[in-house]
Amino acid sequence: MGLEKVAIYRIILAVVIIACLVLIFFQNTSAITGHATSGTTKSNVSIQYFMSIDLSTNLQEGILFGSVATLPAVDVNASHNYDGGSSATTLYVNTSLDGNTAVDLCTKANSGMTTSTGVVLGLGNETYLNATSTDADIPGPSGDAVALTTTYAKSGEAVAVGNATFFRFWLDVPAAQAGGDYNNSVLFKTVRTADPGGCGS
Amino acid sequence: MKRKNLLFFEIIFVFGIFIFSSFVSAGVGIKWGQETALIPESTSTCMTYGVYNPWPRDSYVKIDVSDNLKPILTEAKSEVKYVPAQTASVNSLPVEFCFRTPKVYEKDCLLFGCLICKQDCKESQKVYTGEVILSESPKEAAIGGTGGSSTTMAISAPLQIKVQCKESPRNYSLVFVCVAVVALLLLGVSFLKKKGSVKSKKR
Repeated sequence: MGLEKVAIYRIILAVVIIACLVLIFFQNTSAITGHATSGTTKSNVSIQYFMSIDLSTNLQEGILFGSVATLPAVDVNASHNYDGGSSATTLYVNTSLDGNTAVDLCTKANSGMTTSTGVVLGLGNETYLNATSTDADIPGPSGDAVALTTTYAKSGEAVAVGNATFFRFWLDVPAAQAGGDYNNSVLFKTVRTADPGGCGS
Repeated sequence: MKRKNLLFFEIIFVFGIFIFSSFVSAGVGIKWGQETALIPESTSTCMTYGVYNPWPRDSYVKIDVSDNLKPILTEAKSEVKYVPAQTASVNSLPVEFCFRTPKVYEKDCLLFGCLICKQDCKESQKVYTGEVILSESPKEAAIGGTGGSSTTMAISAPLQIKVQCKESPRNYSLVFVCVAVVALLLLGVSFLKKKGSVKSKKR
């Protein structure tokens, strides 16, 4: 190869290298555009929601059915179903006055009532009713009660701030149910009324 | 003797307060101002919620998301927060909830499924709807012996996460790097050859 050809060959290679570096640079940087001018003014709004609940002292203790000595048993009362003034229930969920939205209350159980050895008392046997007020008959009667499920069901709608939702719980125990201590968890969840997701999962 | 009696009453008093406090209600409260979020894929983000407790007893709360949001939120982190009694909403405590969105949009790649790729964002935007759940931190089971149901409370705020697709043209950087390396090698070889021929001429 002549001297000139070698020089040209090297120049071409150098140009290729430089071109590649330039292309890599442009490939990885955003395009440069011209300046545009405009006048804007900010419009801003912040919408906030807040809500708070708590469970009554007796509801925090749990939903207790005591010892069932005779089977079958139908509509066994939870121990706090009628122990308030005028035989009202003392199982309730409070909605705080320190809130700015009405709420829907949702209830579910994690599973059927189960013994430590895994024997299950089906969830269909644990029933409840809810109401916005309480006395000896409200919530009631037990014949209208609905069974707890493992998915959230609405148990209070558009509860205004400062109000409460009252509950009564009942338990049926079939004749063939094995003896033992049966437990589960009941969950109370609050969502904003008009929340498109409803009670959720 | 008097001192012993005093100690006895002190113990009874402290024990009484302890028993009483366990029967005073503790609640949960949540404050939020954002129900939708537009987040690019593979991005770490934190959202802040306010927690408060206008009730008479201290509480411990934990923030989490519903099951339908869990698949797209990797590395979600949250902590148990202590909320003192009588904390009003105006004094709500911030709880940061951090997560990382996964890759949800397919890239169009020419080599090995991961090289020389472009992202044209032709897929429709992926939207995930669920809720942020503030719940009491797990407490000791109160139930035992006679049987029954323990109770837990939670409060939730809706959250919709829109995963943003970032459009990008095909990236040929790898090709340019390869061409540049080959050109550099050829240039090097050419100089080495020249050096060799000069040396042999000198001999």
